[in-house]
Amino acid sequence: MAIDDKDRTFFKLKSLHQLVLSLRRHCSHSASSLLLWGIVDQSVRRLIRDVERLDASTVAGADLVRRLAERGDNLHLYLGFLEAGEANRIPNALVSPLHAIMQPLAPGSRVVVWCGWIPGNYSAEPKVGECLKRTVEDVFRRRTHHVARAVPDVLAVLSFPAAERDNVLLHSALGHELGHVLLVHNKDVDKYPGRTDLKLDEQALRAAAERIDAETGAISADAKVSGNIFSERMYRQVSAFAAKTLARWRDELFADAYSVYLLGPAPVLALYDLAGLPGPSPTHPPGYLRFLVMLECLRLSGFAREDDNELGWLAPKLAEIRKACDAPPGPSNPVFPIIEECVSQHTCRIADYVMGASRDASAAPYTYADWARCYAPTQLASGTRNCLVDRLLNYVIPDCNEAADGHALPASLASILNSGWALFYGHWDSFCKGLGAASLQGKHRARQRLFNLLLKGIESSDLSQRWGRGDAVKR
Amino acid sequence: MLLSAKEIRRRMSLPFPDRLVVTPLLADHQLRDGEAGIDVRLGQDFIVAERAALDRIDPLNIPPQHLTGYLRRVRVPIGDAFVLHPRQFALGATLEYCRLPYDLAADVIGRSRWARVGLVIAMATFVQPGYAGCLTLELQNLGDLPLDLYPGLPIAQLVVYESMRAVRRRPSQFHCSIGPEFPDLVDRSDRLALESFQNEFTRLSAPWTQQADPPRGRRRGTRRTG
Repeated sequence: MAIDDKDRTFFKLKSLHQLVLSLRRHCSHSASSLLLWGIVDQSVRRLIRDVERLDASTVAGADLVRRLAERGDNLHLYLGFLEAGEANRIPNALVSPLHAIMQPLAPGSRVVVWCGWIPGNYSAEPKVGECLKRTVEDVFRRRTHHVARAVPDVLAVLSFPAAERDNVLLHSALGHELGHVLLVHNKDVDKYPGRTDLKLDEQALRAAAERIDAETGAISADAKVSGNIFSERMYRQVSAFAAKTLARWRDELFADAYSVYLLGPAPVLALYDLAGLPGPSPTHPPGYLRFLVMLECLRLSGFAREDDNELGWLAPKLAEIRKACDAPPGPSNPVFPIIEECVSQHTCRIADYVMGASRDASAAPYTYADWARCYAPTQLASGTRNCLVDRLLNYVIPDCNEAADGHALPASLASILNSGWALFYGHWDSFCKGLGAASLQGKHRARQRLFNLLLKGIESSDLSQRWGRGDAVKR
Repeated sequence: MLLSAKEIRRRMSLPFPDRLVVTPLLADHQLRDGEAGIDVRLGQDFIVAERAALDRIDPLNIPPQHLTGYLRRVRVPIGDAFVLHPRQFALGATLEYCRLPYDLAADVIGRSRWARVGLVIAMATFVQPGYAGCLTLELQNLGDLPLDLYPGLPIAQLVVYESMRAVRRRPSQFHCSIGPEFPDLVDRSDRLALESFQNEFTRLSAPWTQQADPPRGRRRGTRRTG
């Protein structure tokens, strides 16, 4: 099948690992709690100037200005090329690690990443100005009211607590946010195969509205009899609320499925760690639905549930998830259970949509084929990931697999991250024991070493691909 | 016993934990038949010292946070150069990540072509059995002209030896390092031993030094107050 530009957009996002590397470099080497990086838009550029103007008036700000200025020339020069539409003329020395991600998303796509734990993190944030304002307040420890004007478009916003700067596994949350960006910037994705499946959500939406009409109609009829005019308004509000909620949930589930497409099981486990099994809210579906979508994606991409390290770990959690399915709905809003039911009937369709689209683009660079090579069911038993875990257990970077074992060289980002998860959950105690880590402090050091190994593995794999194009040393 | 390239290749294909790992080997000629050793490349991470930030390195009295002000990490992209000026000292690391089994030791030594322009690659060259990590290089330019060092250049070689019996030791503080590391110069046990020795020495010599000069070798803080 011919690959058009939008399909390429879909797949070039796999250079996510470059972002992971840039985060590592800039987060660990900077004392600042504010990190703006890879910003590719004039309005955000104005935002930087606002921040800089604010900085100069305070001692802490002056320090930040100095740090920004250290790389400011390059950043502004880089932005200048992009604004002039001359991205192909950017010198190599200026190319941002985010460039490969941002370029296919342009125009109008922006990613803001910063360090520092603020409310509103891990979100595709429509009002990034507000978030920035809070962050800047945090940096300067004083209230500021004139910092950031609102940026209208959706941005993928990601922030990390300082203690987790080097946690490469946590960075898999970015896959979810990029799913949001992709959905927002590709409203006309009808060209994608499987798009019609997604449209079924609108049917679900109508069905949900009808059911809510039916169930709340009796209440409103009673209310009319009693002469309560307000309840009629409430009835309309409930329908509108249900429609809006369903649309938001659909977007969230799409983003979840997309993150699994990018990074395999890592986002599933990251979601569990970060969010557990949260209840439904107007913006987010209940946790178990998100898990069901992600697990369906994993199943579609060749994962078995029993014979895999990560899913072996996940199996006990599945019981918990199923229990959550059976449990009575927690939140007081009576609309949620109806929406839940409607959406749960279509979770597999959402998964089909994302994974089905991915199957059709195997000819693109950084393709699904690369990913599938590591995750094909035939590889699972003695497969690539087990080999990578074996390397990690022996304190070796998981960058490649030995040709003698018949595995692909070098490994992909997804397989490296997921081998990290597999080790973390399946063999963590032996890893720590080998390092002599008995105390909490020792385990903290061991964790840091694991992250180091993963980061070096990602770097090394990337370098091998670029340098030798897989022409590694024959052993 | 010094391992030949053929033997090194064989050790690289053994199962864990006996496997020797040097990765990524980006080109075949890093491990040539007929030679004894593996060419290793310069990595991207460097540590340079800012002399003005610290007056001296006193291993017993320097707080760790002072070292972070004194040492600056630099990361050089592939394709760019790290300029090492005459008489400058910097810490670098190999691009390759190495892991030695418990019965192999290694030496990291400079290549003669770089030695001829005055570049010293490493001073503490011995790599213990069981070590895993990127090898830190102590770079110094003894020549008269600045040297452009490009990450990815093969500037050193790893010579591997087989020991008579396996040597098992606890992982060092540099275990699993992926770049140059600055050390804790004195570990906790040594620090405690030295301090107790100093206290004991002070106590024993107190009657003899009441009229004389204070004993040498005491800590700076003590000397100031005395």
